Amino acid sequence: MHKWLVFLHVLGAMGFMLAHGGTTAMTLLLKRQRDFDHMRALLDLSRHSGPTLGVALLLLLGSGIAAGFTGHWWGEGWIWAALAILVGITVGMAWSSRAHYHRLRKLLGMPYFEGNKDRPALPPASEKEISAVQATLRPGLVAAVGFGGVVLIAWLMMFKPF
Amino acid sequence: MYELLRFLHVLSAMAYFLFHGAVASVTFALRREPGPKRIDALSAVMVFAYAGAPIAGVALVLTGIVMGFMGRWWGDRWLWTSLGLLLVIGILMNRLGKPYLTEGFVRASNREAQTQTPTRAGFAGAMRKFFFHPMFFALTGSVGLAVVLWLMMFKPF
Repeated sequence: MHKWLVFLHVLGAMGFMLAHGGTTAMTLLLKRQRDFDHMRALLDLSRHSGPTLGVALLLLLGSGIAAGFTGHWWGEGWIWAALAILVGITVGMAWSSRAHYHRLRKLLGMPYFEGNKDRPALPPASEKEISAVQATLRPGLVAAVGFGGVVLIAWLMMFKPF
Repeated sequence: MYELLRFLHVLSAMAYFLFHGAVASVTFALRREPGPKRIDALSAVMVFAYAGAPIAGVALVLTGIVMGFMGRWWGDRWLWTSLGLLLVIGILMNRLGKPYLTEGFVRASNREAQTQTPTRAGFAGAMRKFFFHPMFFALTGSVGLAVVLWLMMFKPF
């Protein structure tokens, strides 16, 4: 039973990374785009992977929590540290998504998310406004936090150091 | 040493899935992204993915091979089965995925080609529709990799 739960956990992690591929590409490529249609295509690429990402994250979390019980690990520090890092990354990414990517969607005249609601497209903003938000993007930092966090979580889970 | 290699194997697998996920998202996007300008952006994603995936793939295979020696698993059938399965998935994706992507990019960037490409009728048309669908690639890849993962974790034979 425990081995199956770990299998499902790893499967969920695989699915999560696969579903995150489009978003990663968007994050790393968006800042250097100068054409607004290019930017719209990249932002859409990320948006459509949302449902798959959600399912994979649920599988990852559900099987991880259950495996924590079957492996009697909830009394150990590494599992709490891994969970805290996961929550931290998720919150950070969600904030970054709203502050930058949904703001860009709004300015580019695409449907966007604001105030916990999906909003319809508005007329596109000026080139100056769009460029100003684009200039605030930090793709290297987002990638380092995201993948660095995943590396740290994998290390904690595999080496169980404390 | 073995534990460290296993850790690197897992990390390279994650990086590989991340890059491959970018390709997967493009295969789906090709069906809904009209216009040459948007297609240019998707081409940039492909360049990004094809730059990173081989590096992660080589790291994944190399760490796997060394671990096979350290764990004395080269005499076990599960290892050969998973390698065979990976090879089959790779060939299938290469033989069907490449023409799909090429055709997708040509059709999406050329509006004339979209209207002129004839639709094949009958069995050939149905087969083409089945194999030239992004969901076919997604399912083949996902199920195949799930079986490979099962073989590696359970080592059943």
